[in-house]
Amino acid sequence: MGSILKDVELKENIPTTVIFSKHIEFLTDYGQQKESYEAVMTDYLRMSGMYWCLTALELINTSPFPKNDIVEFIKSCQDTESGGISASNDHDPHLLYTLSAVQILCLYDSLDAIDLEGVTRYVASLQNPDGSFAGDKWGEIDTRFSFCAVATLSLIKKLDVINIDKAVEFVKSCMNFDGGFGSRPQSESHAGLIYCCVAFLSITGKLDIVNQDNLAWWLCERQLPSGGLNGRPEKLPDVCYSWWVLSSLAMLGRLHWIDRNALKKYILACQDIETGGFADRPGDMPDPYHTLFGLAALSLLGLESIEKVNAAFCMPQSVIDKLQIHIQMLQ
Amino acid sequence: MHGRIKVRTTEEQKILKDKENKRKICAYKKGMAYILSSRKKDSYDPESFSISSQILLLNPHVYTLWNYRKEVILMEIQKCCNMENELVKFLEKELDFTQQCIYNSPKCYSTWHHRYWILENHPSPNWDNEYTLCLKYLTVDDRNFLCWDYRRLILNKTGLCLEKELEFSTDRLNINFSNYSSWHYRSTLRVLNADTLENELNLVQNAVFTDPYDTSAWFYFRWILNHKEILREKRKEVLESLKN
Ligand SMILES: [Zn+2]
Repeated sequence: MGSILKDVELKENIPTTVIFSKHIEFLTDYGQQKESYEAVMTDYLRMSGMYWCLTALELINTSPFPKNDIVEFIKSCQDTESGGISASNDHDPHLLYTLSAVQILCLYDSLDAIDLEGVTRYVASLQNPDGSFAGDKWGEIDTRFSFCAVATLSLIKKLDVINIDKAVEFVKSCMNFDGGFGSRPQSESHAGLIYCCVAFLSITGKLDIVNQDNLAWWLCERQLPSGGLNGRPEKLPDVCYSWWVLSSLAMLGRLHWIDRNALKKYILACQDIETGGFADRPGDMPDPYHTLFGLAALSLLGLESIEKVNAAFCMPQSVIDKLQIHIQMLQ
Repeated sequence: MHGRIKVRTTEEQKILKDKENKRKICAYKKGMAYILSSRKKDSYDPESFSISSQILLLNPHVYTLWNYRKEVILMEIQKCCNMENELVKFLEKELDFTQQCIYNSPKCYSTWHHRYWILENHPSPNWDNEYTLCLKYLTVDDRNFLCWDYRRLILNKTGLCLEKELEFSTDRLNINFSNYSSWHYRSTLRVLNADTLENELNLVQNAVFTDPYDTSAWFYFRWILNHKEILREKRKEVLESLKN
């Protein structure tokens, strides 16, 4: 059985520069249309949607939305009992949205607006005896949640309330033969989960446990002839993996193992020149998620017109500096 | 958000689509409001429960509705403490429901977790049935890592027969050498030592020679070749053979 290379072909007339004004339009519209079909049907992830939009806009130096409205919305999503934060008003608290909310508040320098004791209590309550974290009280376990937990606590300076050694032990137990990480012990390596685990280790200062070059080799092998990166072997390229893979390589000190120009060309090709925004692949529908990760990856590639991004938090470096948070980066 | 190709629509199509979407928004909002207004700690409304099914069949990512259903299940468990048959009937129906949702959207974390959660709360869970179900799903998509992850949870319950699982991984690889998920799975089963190395080396060399442009097997190949028990001469011999 011969393999067909899973990749896309870039056309001739693809955009070769960042169409900033279009992206601002796209993201602003998205943020304003609270009653659109997209917005209503994705209200189960609204908090993360806001984080993608607002961070993308910050990276290109714009913040068109009134800070008060956003902060009030986040306050209204905090559950007084558990302390956790939900995706939007009609939903239940979850670690994913607790992190998104804290990230947004950091962008707006408004952490004090919510009950931080509550957030701390919530995150700590989700750690299991084996060090892993559940996403909410219903017990789903995943290394994504280990990342959410330490990222949230690090941003609010409360990392000491959890058992870090145990948490690291669990993440370490998810390491695979190829140097990568999966969602749970013995789960297949996946670039998104590798990012979660590498960022987790970078925040907790335990990156030394990774098999640096083995993992970096697996990651740089994600690059396809089109220049784009996939998330696992034999999968199609996708702009969001530009971020998950590239940020991991940055933390591992191996960003230069990627063909930067080819990747830049691919990411730029995924812009929608009519509506603005980035899609996963050229010709697909753009969305804020891929728009943030496209811009963030371009920032790591050194595009000067985009703000410097922090590889572990996917937030503007200036915000992380202001909070005086230092992450570990290998040489 | 993934793999949605942008299609050009006429003005007329757009108007129709907008109308359809408006109807969907309205139904969704009404349904959610109805469910949430009836959400209580000690009792539930069957009408709400059935509306939540309709929403989840279309959009299984609405995690709050899965939480709501778990609350309902816990109430049923309380209620049926002396009537196991009744409870089992209820839980089996819920298992069927998750199967429909998985069929519609095989890559939704919440659904897989809900299914596992039901079984954990089931008085007589049939783990073997789940084992068979996973095989069925992997036949449809042998890279679905949510299904692989679920299968691992099931094996933790049933216990793992190493011989059987090795055979399973060899079968998967014979169906498709370029299945990275199967190579990965094999790596979790194989304890590499002098006895097993030869066999693994043969298997992976065969795969690499069959289709050298497929990247999957190369990672396994590298792992095997890097093993400290591989004799220096053997490694040299294998690497030499690759030059041709
Ligand atoms: Zn993507």
